[in-house]
Amino acid sequence: MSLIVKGLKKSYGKKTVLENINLNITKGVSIGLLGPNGAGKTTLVRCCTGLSKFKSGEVIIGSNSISSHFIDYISEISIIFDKSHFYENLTGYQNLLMCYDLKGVEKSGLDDIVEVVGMTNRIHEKVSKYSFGMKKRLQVAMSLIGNPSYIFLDEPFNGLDLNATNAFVKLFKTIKDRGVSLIISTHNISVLDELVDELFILFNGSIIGQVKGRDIHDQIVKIELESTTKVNYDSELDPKFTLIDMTDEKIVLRCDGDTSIYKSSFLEKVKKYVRKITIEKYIEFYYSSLLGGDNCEQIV
Amino acid sequence: MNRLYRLLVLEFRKMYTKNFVLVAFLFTLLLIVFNADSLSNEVETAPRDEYWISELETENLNIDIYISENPDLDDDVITDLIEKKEINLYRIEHNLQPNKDKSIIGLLKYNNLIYMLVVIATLVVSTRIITDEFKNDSLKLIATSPYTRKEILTCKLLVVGITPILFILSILLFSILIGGYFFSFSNLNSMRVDMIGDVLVVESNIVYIIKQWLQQSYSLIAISTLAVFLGILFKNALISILTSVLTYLFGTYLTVFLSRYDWIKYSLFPHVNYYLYNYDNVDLPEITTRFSYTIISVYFLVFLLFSYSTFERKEL
Repeated sequence: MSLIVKGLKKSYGKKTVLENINLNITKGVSIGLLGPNGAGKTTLVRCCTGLSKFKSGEVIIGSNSISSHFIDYISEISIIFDKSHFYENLTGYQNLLMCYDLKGVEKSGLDDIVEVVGMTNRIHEKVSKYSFGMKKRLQVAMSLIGNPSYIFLDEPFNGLDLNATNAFVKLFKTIKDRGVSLIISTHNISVLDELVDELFILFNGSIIGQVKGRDIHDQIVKIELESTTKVNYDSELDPKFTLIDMTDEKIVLRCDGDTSIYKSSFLEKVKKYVRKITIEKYIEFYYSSLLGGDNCEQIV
Repeated sequence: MNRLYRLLVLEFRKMYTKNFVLVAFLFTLLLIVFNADSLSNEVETAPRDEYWISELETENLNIDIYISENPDLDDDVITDLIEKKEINLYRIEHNLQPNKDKSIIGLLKYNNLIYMLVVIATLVVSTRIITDEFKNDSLKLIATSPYTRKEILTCKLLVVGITPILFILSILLFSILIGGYFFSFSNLNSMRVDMIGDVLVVESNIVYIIKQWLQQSYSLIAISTLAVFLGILFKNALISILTSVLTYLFGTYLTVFLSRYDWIKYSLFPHVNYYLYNYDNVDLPEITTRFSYTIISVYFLVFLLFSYSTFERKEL
């Protein structure tokens, strides 16, 4: 039962903010939506969750279209907003019970959800006493109610420090391991490779790039050489590396996430000419190569 | 149906646990106590228990004398006096003692102005049931739950519709309990006798008062729907409350000001106050109860249509 977005188009007046968006997300597969501000990531999430109406196209889960079978469609999804709303004078537990009532599902598995999000010790406290991170955890708990197949996350790491971000990455991985598809819209490229199976890059309302499968975990190795060096790269020396670019001063290689450049035969051969080695994630390299330097400054 | 019932209960709970609603109920209660206390210090104008029949007979006799001594009286005045005589005769024949001022019924009539609380409370509820959700961003939570936008708005409108009824019932209940404490419960089922046209109408005082309030609520429902529509359109409580409250409170004065124009009868303003044309305060003879209800119904349907179509397309 896939979530399919077909030919989605959204405009605000004369300005088109989403143009011919096509996605096919298999259940259990998680995707990332990456792009600079104004690319259309949040608008896409809003269109897929019923918060915004769109001009043309279709959003379907199984045989349920968001336009014609809204109730059945929305029962399969959940959303974690960038801002939270709770009844602050109630406890976290009471808020969750209200959410059960709202979604009209059996009140089973509540304790399990509370345990998954790590709130067992504080769930019976009033929400007004929660920190920002605790409120985010409560949001995640609410999103799990009703066993959704797809959870949309709009900028889920906003406002979190490094430790909290890592904690939430771990939490989302746990949720992903339970077979839930995550659709994450974020600027935080550094965590995406740990969470998603496919990555879509949006710019000016269109999908301009895609990275999928193992490619997400690939690395880019940039080797800067002494300017007077003339080095020939022999691809047969290290079959795990792919040559991306080569000039007199720089060699750019691509390899998978498990491979280390420091064990390569080529490096062993040229190490006396090497000035500097930089390693970055392939998705960062791919993103900046698509969008150029200025837009790259917007990613974390 | 279960789903909608569940949403309706949630909407009801959300609204009726808000502080301003609880304060409104408390204020109503305090105002009724204050009114009861004021009424208990007023002079009783109704005939005394032991002499009410002879007092009514004396009043009828005085009416006869007055008419015979003033042959140039207006026809309207004579009609009113004769009607009063008929009512007195009916009361005497059927042993229906006139209601006292210092009674539960007297308190309910004294509380007529408290109906303004019903108006204000309903219009504030109509506005905030929408604008609070926009302000807190909580509408997103409901909109991404298994309810269509039509269902969400329908449940909110039902809560708005129930509000004047709830407030009327609470005024009634508080008045009965507090009036009973101050004056006694003995006249609770007293009867009202009135002449409407040439027909003598006899009905329970309490039923009559409730009917009056409910009739006034009819235009209130239309204006509440306007408040809901404005709340959806502007997402701003102030604009919505101000517009709807001013429409209700000053519609009557606007009608007096614009009564020379024939088209005013098609606006909502003359129909806001049910008693306006009954008291002949303005020269709008074409306005009958049926015409008024028709105009209110049309505006109600128009505001309802605008509310649904705007909410359906609104970016949340």
